[in-house]
Formats: sequence, C-alpha cells, structure tokens
Amino acid sequence: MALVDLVEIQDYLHEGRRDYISDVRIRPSDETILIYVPREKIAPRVRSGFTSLRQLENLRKNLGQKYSVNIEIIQTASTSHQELESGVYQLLNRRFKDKIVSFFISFREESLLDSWIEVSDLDESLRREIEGYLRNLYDESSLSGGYFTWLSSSGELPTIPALLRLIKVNQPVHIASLLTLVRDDYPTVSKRWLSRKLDLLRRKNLLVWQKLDSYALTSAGIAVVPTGKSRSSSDVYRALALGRRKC
Amino acid sequence: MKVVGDQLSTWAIAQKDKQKQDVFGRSAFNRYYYSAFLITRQMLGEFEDRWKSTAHREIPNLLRASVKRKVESRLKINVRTRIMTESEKSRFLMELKTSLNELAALLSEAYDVRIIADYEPEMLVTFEKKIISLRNYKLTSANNWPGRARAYCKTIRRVWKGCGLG
Repeated sequence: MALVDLVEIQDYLHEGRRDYISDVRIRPSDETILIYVPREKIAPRVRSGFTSLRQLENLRKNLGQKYSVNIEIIQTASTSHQELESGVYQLLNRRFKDKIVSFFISFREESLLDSWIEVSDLDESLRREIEGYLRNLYDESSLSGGYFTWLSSSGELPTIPALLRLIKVNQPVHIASLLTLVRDDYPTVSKRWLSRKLDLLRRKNLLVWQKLDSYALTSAGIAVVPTGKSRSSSDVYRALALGRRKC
Repeated sequence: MKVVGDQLSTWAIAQKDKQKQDVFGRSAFNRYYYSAFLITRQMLGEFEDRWKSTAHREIPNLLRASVKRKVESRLKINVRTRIMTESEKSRFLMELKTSLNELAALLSEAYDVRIIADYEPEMLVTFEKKIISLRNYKLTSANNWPGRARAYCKTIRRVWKGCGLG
C-alpha cells in the first residue's frame, strides 16, 4: 500500500475543498491514514471553512470503504485554546487562593465553552462564587459559559433511575440502610429528601412500602431498571448483594 | 504512571545531550499516553466487560459510538417510562456528548504521538523555549492528559450512573 493511497486520498480531499483539514499523513506502523483537523474548525453544523463531528465521522467511514484503508481523524488542540485554559486556571487560583486543583475547557461552538473544574473543599457557596466569577470573566472576553462540571461536587443528588437501581439491588430495604447506601455516592442526601423521593416513587406505583418499614420495587419498578448480561448488570449486583446478606 | 512521565520530562529538559533528551522526552509522551489510556480503560471495564479489551486505536470510536448509543437509548427509555424529564435527558446528553468527544479526541492525539514516540525514531523531539515537542505535540500539554482523562471519565460515569446503568 500506502504511498499511492496517500497521494490519492490527498487529491480526493483536496478536490473536495476540505480546507478545514490541516494535514494528512500515513502512520507506517499500522498503515493508517491520519487526517488532522484543528479543533477550532469543528462547529455544531457544517458551514464554509468549518466541519462538524458528524461530517468527519462520515468522511472517515466513506474514505475507509472507498480505499479499504484504516482512516483516523485527529482533532488537534490549538495553542490558543491551551493558553486560554492555563491563563484562566492561573487567574482562578489567584482569586481563590490555590483552591483550584484542575481546570479544563472545551469549545462547543466558536465562543461557547464548557468548563470542568476541580476544587478542594468545595461547598455550595464557593461553587456559586467561582461560577459567578467565571461567567463574568467569559462575558467580558466575549465568550459565553456553557456547562460547568464540578469534579469535586459534593452537593449532587441521585436521579430517580439511579435510586431505583439501588433499591432493586438491595430490596427489600429499610430506609435507614438505603440512606447509608445512597450516601456512599451522594454524601449530602438527607433522610427527609430520601423519604420524600420514596413517597413520590410509591405514588407513581414504582415502589411498595412493606411491613417492618421496608421498601421494594413493584413489577413496574423492576421493569424500568436496566438489566444485562455484563458483570455490571443490576441482576448480577442483586445476586451479589443477596449473597452478602446471607453471610 | 503520570509521575513517571513527569520525572522523564524533567530529565529530558535538563539533558544537554540531544540524543538522551530525545529518548527521555519521547518516553515521557509514552507514559502520559498510558496513564490516560488506563484511566479510560478502567471506566470502560466497569461499564461492560468486553469493552475492557478494546484495541487502543479503536477506543475513540467505541466512546463516540457504542458508549454514546447505550446511554442515549437508556435515556430515551427513562423518558418514555416517565422516570426522567425531557430536560434532564437533554442535559445529560449534552454533557455526555461533550465529554465523550473530548476524551476520544484526547486519546487519538495522545495515541498518535505515542506511536511516533515508540515506532518512528527518525522523528526527533525538539527543544525550544524550554519546551519539549514531538511533531506538533508539546510535552507541557501532554502532562495534563491524565488529569483531563480523569475529568471526562468522571462526567461520563456520572451520566452513566444517573441514567440507571451502573
């Protein structure tokens, strides 16, 4: 293979006026054709000079079939992205006294960015303060702040699907034991919050309250919890939990 | 694994001998890649046993296709069975897509340079303004691959759990 294909593919790409592609090369070790696309050329929708993730995926598949070669698309991070990221990280640490452990950004659109933030000793008020500071900083730089993901978030609450799964694995389960189990993953859950949720699920007919103050899923409840053959299946977890209970 | 990368990269920067600088520098890239790879593989194994043995270069595709599909279909079921609202679903989906793509993009870049580091010795590392680079990749950005991978995995795990899958 190889060099011939590479030239052909380069011509093909060139004819298609795909000027969002910055480089094409062949990786000798596994004869894969690598197409490099700068991250800032990827937009939610295709427009002149820009491509989209969907278009890139189609390009990868089509070229792979057409030339029977492995194609890989590499989205390259730009220097300006890295500089912005490390600049904001430093500003944050100046302002919040070195409490920021890590900080990453991702451009969802040209000026819309999502942020991942890890903070030591994060609480609700600090979280709000940091988010306010960042949104302001973004606004003033003609950027807009999208989603904020708090990597050290402690205030997170379980969703209903997560709660139902936990009950299925451990049922019949007393509210006190359920609270302990829930708190393994969601430390801030209160007993009051949990009983309100359980009550809601009972009214939705997904859960029954049994004697001795314990809860179990109804057949409707069981039906909405995913199962599977994998080791991570809720059925396998339930069997393991039952085994532990007998010990 | 990251500490090994950090140590190698310190040695590489301090080296006066170009050849030694090259070997330490490229090994550092290799270690940073493996660190990010192992963090991802751990997560994939928790999700589905067979995903754990995915070939390195297939992992970005697995993330963008299979992992996404599995969560997406679960989210749909959750909305249909009314255990999740439409807005919860869209929020999860947006977070998922962004983190999966970020992680996939990171791993393909990191894998690209790791292969260069290990199998294309004719491409040498360069040293400019105290920064070691291989092709267009800087060691200063490679050193946050593990942290980045961990951050994206955390979001992906949260969505996975949130929709009842794990």
